[in-house]
Amino acid sequence: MTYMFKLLPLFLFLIGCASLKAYPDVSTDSSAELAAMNKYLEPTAITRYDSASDSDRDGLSKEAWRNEVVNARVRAIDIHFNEFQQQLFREGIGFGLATDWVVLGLNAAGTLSGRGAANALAATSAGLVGGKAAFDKNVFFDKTLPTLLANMVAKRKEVLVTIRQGLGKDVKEYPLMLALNYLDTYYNAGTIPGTLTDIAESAGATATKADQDLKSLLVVTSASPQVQMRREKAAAFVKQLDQQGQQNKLDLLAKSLNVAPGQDALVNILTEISKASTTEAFDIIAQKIKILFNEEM
Amino acid sequence: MADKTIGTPGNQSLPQFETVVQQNEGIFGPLKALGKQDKNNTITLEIGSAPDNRAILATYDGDAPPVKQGHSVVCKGDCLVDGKAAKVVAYRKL
Repeated sequence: MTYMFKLLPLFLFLIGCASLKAYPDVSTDSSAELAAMNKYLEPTAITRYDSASDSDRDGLSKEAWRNEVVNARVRAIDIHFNEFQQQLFREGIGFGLATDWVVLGLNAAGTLSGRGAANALAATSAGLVGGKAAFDKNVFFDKTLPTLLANMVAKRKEVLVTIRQGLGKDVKEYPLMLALNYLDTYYNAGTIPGTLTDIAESAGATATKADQDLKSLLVVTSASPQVQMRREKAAAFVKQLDQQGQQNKLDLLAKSLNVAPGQDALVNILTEISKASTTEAFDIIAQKIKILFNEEM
Repeated sequence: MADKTIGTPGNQSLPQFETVVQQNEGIFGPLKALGKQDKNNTITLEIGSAPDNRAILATYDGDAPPVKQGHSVVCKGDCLVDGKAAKVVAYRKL
């Protein structure tokens, strides 16, 4: 049992280390800050915005009042988000560090102390490890949470840019109600369900694009030497048009081949030429070039 | 300069694959990359003048393709030859 007392400073040191903080103390009182902004946060902020008289808005114009309300609500959401972030850390990563270090201490003590104490310590250690093992099953607080938080922060910034850009517009173009909708999006971007939805949507969009890329891949085979000679002549002709800056002619040919004109006209026409691997298929392109430019292919 | 990626069936022999590459260098421009997507090989070409010396394809084993005398390596990629995975290198005569 005397070993236990000898090891007490070690426990205290380890547990003390476990309380190492990830976030420094904040220098402002968030509750007081929220209370000070209350007039912009309560529902009357909307009725005051709708009022025809500036005096109902502390002498502010509708636009100035809108900006005050939006900025206050952004700040309020930020305050709650920061608290949420810290709470997640305390419940997740913070717990992991603390238990790891306590377990290390208890196991060391169990090895060195008397039998009764060792059993008691081992039981405590097992309880903590068991608790942590169950906790670790929650993937949120282990590997996934940092990724979710990173996505939340990124998405929030993206929405905040939209909100801030709106504040430079007049109230007809960017009324308070529209700003409030963006504020809801801003709030949701900082929630676990919101960020999961965003990740799922992004993954879905990526998968759809991959499917489209797969479907849009032009698959070609070789052509006979005779057809290839004609194809290369046609390709050289359209590339020459491009080099000469004759975009209108490229657009004309693109339209006649039912492909998009404009900056991709050259690539689109070359693609049509590449697709035409038989005499019959290439004759159609050759006829169009003959009609439009009186060139034999 | 813009690129264009096209596909060609992965069940072709190496000479057939090479012909498709060479013919499309004649249409789009010089070969830039080779690869595979699903059951097809992909050929990425840079839009420009057709090269005088068309790319020559070869399969190889190991990490690096062998040096071919009088040729430079244009690109290499994991492709399909006769429907089977193969490392393919494209050379161009200097």
